[in-house]
Amino acid sequence: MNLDPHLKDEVKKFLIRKMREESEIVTVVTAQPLTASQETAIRALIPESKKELNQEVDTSLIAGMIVKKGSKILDLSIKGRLQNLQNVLTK
Amino acid sequence: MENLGIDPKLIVAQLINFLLFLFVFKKFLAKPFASFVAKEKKEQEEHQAALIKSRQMEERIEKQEKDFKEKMKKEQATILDEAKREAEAVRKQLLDEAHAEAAEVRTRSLKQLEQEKAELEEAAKEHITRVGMLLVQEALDDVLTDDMKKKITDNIIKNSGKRISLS
Repeated sequence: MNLDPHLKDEVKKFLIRKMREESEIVTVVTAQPLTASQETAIRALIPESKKELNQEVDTSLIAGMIVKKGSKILDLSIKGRLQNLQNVLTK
Repeated sequence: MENLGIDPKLIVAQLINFLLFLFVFKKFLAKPFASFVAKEKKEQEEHQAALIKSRQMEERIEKQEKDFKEKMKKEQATILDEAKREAEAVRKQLLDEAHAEAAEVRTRSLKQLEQEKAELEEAAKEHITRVGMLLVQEALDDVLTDDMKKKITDNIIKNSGKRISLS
């Protein structure tokens, strides 16, 4: 399939920009919606979240949070800790 | 002498006859007869010698045959002994090989059993842990109220440290 080289360039630039934007977005996943104080505390804790902070809810986490930015993930949830414990016990 | 019935002329004639006979015999018969007798004697002696020789040969052959039979018997016994020894050795070797193979099979089976046991234990441990964790998760979800969950989240945020860098 032969694409117009100009169109190809545009698509490439769009994809790169999209990836960059997504890699700059900080996503916080919690078991319940964040309260205002929690949101403030998180923004203070994570400098990168000052630009944009995305919130998601996952009740399976029980409590705590998971922080994601691009390909980096920081799991501070109860579910994550239980998972770590399981991994340690089954070693 | 005539009174006794003896005729002197007859006696003389008989004597002359006898002498003539002797002369003729000696001249014409004695030699051939003697040579005939000698020939016969010689032939008999030769025959006798041949008979003795033949008997000796027969005895020799008999002895040889006897010796040969004994030798064959001994060789047969030796071959049989050797065959028995070889058969015994082969039997022993086969037995040893069978024992070794049986031992190897046993060792391999034991090893396999141990391995399977370990794998089963590992799987059981993993399953128990997984189920345990699920139970804990479920229990926590049921036991913890929303307020308690919020407090836990607050504590986690508070205890995470001053800053978290994700760059």
